[in-house]
Amino acid sequence: MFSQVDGPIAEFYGWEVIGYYINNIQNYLAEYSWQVRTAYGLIVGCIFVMIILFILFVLMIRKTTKYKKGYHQLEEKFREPLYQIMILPEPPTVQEIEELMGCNFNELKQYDSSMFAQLISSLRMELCEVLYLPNMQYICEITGVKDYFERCLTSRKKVFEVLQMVVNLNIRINEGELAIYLNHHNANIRLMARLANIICTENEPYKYLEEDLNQRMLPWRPMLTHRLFGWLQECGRPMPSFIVLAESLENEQASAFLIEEVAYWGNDTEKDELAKFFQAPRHIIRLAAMRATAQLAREANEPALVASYDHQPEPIKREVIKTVLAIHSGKQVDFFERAYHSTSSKETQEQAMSCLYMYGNEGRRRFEMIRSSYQLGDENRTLLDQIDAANLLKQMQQFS
Amino acid sequence: MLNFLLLFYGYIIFFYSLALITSYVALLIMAYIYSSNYKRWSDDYIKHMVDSTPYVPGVSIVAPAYNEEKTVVDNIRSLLRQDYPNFEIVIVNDGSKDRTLETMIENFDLVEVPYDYIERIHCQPFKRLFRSTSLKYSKLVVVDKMNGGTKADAVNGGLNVVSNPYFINTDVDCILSNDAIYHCIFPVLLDDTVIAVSGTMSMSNGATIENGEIVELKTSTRPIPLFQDLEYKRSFLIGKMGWSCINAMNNVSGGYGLFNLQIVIAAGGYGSKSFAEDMDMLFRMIGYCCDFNRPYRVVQIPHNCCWTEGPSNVKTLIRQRVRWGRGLIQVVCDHSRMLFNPKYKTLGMLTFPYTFLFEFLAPMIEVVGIFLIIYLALTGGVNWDTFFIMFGAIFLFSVMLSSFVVFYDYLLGSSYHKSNSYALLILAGIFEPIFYHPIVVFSTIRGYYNHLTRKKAVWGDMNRQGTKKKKK
Repeated sequence: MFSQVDGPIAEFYGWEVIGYYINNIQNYLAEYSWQVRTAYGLIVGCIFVMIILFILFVLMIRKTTKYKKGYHQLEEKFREPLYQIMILPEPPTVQEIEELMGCNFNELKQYDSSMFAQLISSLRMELCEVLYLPNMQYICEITGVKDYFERCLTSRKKVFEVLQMVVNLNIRINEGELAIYLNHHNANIRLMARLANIICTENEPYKYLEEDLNQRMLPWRPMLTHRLFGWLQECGRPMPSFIVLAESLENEQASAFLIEEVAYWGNDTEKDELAKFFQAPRHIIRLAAMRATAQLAREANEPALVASYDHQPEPIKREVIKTVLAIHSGKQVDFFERAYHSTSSKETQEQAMSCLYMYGNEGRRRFEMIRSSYQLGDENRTLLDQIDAANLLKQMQQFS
Repeated sequence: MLNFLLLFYGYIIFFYSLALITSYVALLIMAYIYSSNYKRWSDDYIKHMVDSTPYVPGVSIVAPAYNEEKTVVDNIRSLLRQDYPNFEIVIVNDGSKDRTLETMIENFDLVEVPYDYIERIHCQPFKRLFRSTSLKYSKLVVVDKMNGGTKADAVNGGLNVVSNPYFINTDVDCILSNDAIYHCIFPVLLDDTVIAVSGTMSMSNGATIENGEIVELKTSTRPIPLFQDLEYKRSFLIGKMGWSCINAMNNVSGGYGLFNLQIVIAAGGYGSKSFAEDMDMLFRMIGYCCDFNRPYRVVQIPHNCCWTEGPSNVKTLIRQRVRWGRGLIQVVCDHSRMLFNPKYKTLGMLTFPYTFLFEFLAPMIEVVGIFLIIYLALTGGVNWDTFFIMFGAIFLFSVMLSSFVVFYDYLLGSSYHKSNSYALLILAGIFEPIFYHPIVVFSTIRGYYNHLTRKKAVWGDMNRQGTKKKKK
C-alpha cells in the first residue's frame, strides 16, 4: 500500500507497482521544458542500456570462458591422436583408432562437435599437404563433425561458417543439404555452396562452374578455384577441360585464369595448345598463356613465343622475355640482346638484361660485353651495375 | 538582445548535441552490423587459401625512420616476422641525426647496392639504397634520403622504391601482429575496387615486449596512454567501422593502412607539407577516383593488427594534438571543393560535412560554451538543475559509448590478455570527459591558431619510453 503526501491513499498490486514507478519516472520533470525532459530521457536511456550491456558482457565472458576451457580440454586429450591418424598413409582400422583416441566411438559423440571441427581445422592448417585426406574424412564422421555440418545446414544456423569449413577441410557431406544454398541470394554463401558442391557431388560437379566464372572475377575467386582443383587432382577426380571452357567463357579474366591453370592441372594436349594463344586478340589471354608456358618451361612452345615478340606491346614483351628465361633452352642469347637494343622502354631493357644475366655462362658473358661498352656514370651502366649487384647479393644470401 | 543571442545559441547547441548523439548511435549500429558480417569469415580459411595458391598479390611495408636508434632493430624484427608469402619491407632513413642507419647496417648485414632510382613521386633527394647479404633479411630494403621534414616526404621516398602493387604505410615504432598483412589484403581479394584498408590500432604502452613481439598485452596504468587507448578504440571500432559499412570513411590512419600503389601515385603521392598526411592522402585518392569515375571502396577491418606507443605525458600529447589540429584545418582548407559536392559521393555529401561540423567546429563550439558557462555562472544566469541534467546526459552518453567500445572489443576477439584491462578502460571512460577531453580540445584550437598564423612547425622528438621488456 502506498500513499502520497497530502494526497489520497491508493493501493497497488502486482504489475501496478511497476506502473507506479514508471509513471513517477515519466513525470519526474513534468514542469521543466521539453529540452530538459529530453536530456532526462537520455539519462534514463543510457542507464538502462548500460545495465543491459553489463549483463550481456558478463554472459559473453562466461560463455567464451566456458568454450575456451572446454576446447582446451578437448585439445589436450585429442590433438596428438588426431594428428597421428591424419598422417597415417592408409585408413586405420576401428581398433587402431580407438586405441589412439583412448576411447570408443560412442564416447566421442559426447563431446561438442563444433570444438572437434575447430580442432580438425587447425590440424588441417598445420599438416597441409602431409595429411591423408580420406583419414580426415573418416575422423570427421566418427567425431560427429560431418553430422554437425549437416545439422547446421538443415537448420540454417551458421551456414556461411560451416560452408567455409566444408570447403577448407574438403569434407564430403550429403549433397542434398547444399541444394537450398546453390542459388542463394547472398553471393558469398552461393559461392561457398557451389564450391562445396564440386567436392560433394558425384553427378556433374562442374555444373555451375561456367556460370560462376562468367561473373566478375574478383581476386579471391581464382585462389579458391585453384585450391579446389588441387584437391580434385589429389583425390583422382576428373578435371574440367580448361581450354574448352576458357574458349567458351565471355569473361576474359576467367578465360585467362583457366589458361594459366593448364600449367598446374592440364593434360599434355592442353599444354601444347598454349602456343596458339600467344597472338590472341586480348592481351590478358596472351599474358596468361605465357605465364603458363613459363611455369611449365615448355621448350616446344619457345619458337612460337619468340616469333610473336615483335608484335607485342611492351608489357607483354617483358612477359615474353621472362618466359624465355624460364624455358632456359640455352639458344636465345641473341634474342635477349636484340630485345634490349630494340626497345625504348627502360623497364623492358632492365628485364632483358636481368634475364640475359641469368641465362647461363653464355648469357653472362654477353652481359659483361654489353656492360663494358658503357662508361662509368652512364645511365645504362648504372642499370647494368644494379642488375649485377642484385644477383651477387642473391648469391651471397644463399651462401649466408 | 543578449538574452536572445544566448537563447539562440542554447538552441543551436542543443540541436547540435542531439545530432551528434544520433550520429554516434547510427555509427554504433552500423559498426555492429559491419563487424558481425565481416567476422563470419574464418581466419584459418583465409590463411589456408592465401598460402596455397600462386595468385597472391605482393605487399610492401613502407616505414619511415627518423632518430629511432633505440627501437629500430626490434621493430624491424617484428616486421620481418610477418607470415605472408610475398612481401618486402622498405625502411626509409629520413636523414636521421643519430645512429639509426648505422644500427640497421650492423644488425641486418646491410650493404649499399647501386640502384637506378626513379622519382615517381617528388620527395627530398635519394642518397643510397641498402640490401642485406643475409638470406633471413632478404626481404629488407633500406632507403637513405635527405630529411624532408615530414613523414609524408619519407613515405614518398619509400614509394619510389617499392616493387609490389600494394603497400602498407606504418610507423617503424609500430608492432604488427604476425598475420597483419593477411587481414589487410583480404578485403582487396574480395573486392578489387578496394583502394585502401584500415587495420585497427591499439596502444602498446602497457604491453610487455620481447624481441619485437608482444608477449603480454594490457592497458597502461598511466592516465594519458590509457585515455588514448580508449580514444583509439572508439575511433576504430565505432567511428571508422560505422563509416566503413556505408563506404564513407574519411581517414586511414598513418600508423597502419594498406593502399593501392597505383591509385596513390595517380593521386600525386603523400602531401609533404601536410600535417595530417593520412587524411589528406585518402581525400586525394577518393578525389582521383571520383574525378575519373573509378569505383572505389575504403574499408576498416575489425582485426587488431597494430600496436603503437602513444605519448605518455601531457606535454608530448599536446604537441601531437596541436599537430593533428593543424592537419585537420589544413585538410578542410585544401579540400574545401569537395564539401557538399555530389561529385564526391559519400565523402562530399556525408563524411566531409560531418567532419567539418562535428570534428572541425566542435572544439571551437566547446570552448565558446565553456567561456559562456563561466560568464553565466558569474552573473547568476545559470539554472543549475538544468545545467546538471544537461551535463549528466552528455556525460552519461559518453560513458555509455565507452562501455560499447569495451563490449565491441571483447566481442571482436579481445585485444587484452587480462580482463582487468577492461575495467581500467571503463574507468578511463568515466574520467575522460573531465580530464582528458579538455586537453585535446584546447590543443586542437591551438593547432588551428598555429595554422592561421602560419607558425613554423617543428615535429620534435616523441620521447619514447619504450615498452616493458620481459625479464630473462
